[in-house]
Amino acid sequence: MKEAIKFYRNEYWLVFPLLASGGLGTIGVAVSSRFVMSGWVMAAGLVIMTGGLCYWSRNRYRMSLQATEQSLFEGLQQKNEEIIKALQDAHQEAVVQACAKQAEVERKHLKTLITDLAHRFDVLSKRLGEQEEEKLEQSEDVHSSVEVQIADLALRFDTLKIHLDQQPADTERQEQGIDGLDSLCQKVLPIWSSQVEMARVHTEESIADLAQRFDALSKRLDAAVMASQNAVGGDKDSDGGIVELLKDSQLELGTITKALGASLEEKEKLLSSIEGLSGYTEQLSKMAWEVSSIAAQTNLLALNAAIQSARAGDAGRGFSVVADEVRKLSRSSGDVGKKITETIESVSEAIEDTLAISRKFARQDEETLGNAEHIIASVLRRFSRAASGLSDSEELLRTENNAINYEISDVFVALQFQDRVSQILALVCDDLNKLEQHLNGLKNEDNSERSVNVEQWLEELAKTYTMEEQLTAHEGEKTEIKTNQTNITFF
Amino acid sequence: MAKTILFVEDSASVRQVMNSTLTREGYDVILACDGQDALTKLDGTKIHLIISDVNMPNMDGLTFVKTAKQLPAYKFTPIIMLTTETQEEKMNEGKAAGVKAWIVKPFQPAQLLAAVSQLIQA
Repeated sequence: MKEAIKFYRNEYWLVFPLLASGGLGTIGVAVSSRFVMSGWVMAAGLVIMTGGLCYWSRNRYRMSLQATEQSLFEGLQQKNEEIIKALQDAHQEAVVQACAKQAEVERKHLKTLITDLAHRFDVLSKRLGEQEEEKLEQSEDVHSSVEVQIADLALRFDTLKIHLDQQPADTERQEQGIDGLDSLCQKVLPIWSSQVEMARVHTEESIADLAQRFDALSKRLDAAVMASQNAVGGDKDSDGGIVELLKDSQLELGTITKALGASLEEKEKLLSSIEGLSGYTEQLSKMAWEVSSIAAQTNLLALNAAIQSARAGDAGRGFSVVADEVRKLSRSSGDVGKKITETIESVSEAIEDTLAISRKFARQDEETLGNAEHIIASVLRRFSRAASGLSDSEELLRTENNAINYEISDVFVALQFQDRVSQILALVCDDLNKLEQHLNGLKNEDNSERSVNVEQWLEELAKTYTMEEQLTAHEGEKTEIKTNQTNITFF
Repeated sequence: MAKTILFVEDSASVRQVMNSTLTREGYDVILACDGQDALTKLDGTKIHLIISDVNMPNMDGLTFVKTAKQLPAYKFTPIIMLTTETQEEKMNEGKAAGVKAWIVKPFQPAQLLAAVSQLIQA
């Protein structure tokens, strides 16, 4: 057919009628010499016949070649459309596969991180459960609100999962070649994009709120531990805790008991002095007895003097008066001596009573002091035990707080998944928007120019990745999420 | 006196996490949600360290760093990039812009604080 077209286009067909007219002219010359006809008339007739034949054959050639050209054009056009459609399908299939793959990776990523987060919450919840009830009551509202947030986050994750699950289903339908694929994509792509964006924003807000609550929880725990530490062990800036107070009290109570002991010793000295007085009363009694004795002898002496003065008669009369006066004085002295003895006895009895009472009080004071020391020692021991218990409790609380802070630190690391997920979803959204714009562009273009370079599309998509995992997922390999290693490069 | 750190990040959750981590260590933290917002915070306030994300809307982190380094008051302020970006080209671009450290998320708070302490005291 190509040769025919070439023949037609190169005007080779003109040779054929010239050869035909030459041959017919030769035959006409032979016929005219046989039947005696005018050669010129015959030649003219033959030329006319040749011209007519030439015109007819040319028309026939043209018509047949036009029909061939038409059929060739239609065949080429059909083939071209088929190739364009195949390319378009391949492009859409590749983009949808990439989206589905990315969505699946995201879904698995989210699931892994949520599971990890739930596990950490469980650990944290158990640790909180081991705290004192007071601490639990204080943190109950925070804990419950965190649980509500987690439930909310799980709900949103489910929604996101449903959205992400819908993508492969929709992808399958597209792969089956449903009519109106372009219009479906144009309508569904903005919806996917807005849904993914909504899920991203909701997750962002929830994680930020969750981080804030964890921070508040951690600060409250720190404050509780600090308060407990101050109460038990004291602070550098304050006057001291219960242990310090206990030591001070022990010291002060020791001073008081020492003062009481000193007071008792003073009382003992006083008793010794009183007992010394008792010795003096005996001496006084003896002296009073001696006075009485002297009075009796003086009385006897006065009596003898009176007898002797009576014997002397008138000469001794004056002397007898003196002897009477002396006798009266000796009686008075005797009476005074008796009174002194009686008074000394009374004083002695009073001193004995005082001594007895003082000894009794001294014993009571001694017993009281002994009891007081015993009670003080007992109270201090109890306080010491309580303080020791509080100290242990505070130490335990501090240890638990450190453990919880460590857990919260890990939770902070886990919460950063949101930023990574957000960036991955943002890239998926961007690519969905790009596909939508591309489809809109194709709709407005001539059908014959519809084409897409799948490889170029995927290369451009790969260039937008920021994380190694994205590139790994893009290449169709299984991704491993790195969560606990900080990669720091110093310049 | 507490040291002041400017933290530039478009993710609200990471901003919250960093704010908690740094304030617990006694730092004063100024937060910004992108490069443009961060530039408005560079109004002469004494800032001892800048920590910035790379991929952000309105103005990305590397453009912000280059702009900040042209301001006389912040020419010698140490800068840490905190990002998910691992491309060598970006890291070299940051190094050329005067970035002191490149930390890839997710970060361990303790290790980040060690780097912050090291750069602030340097």
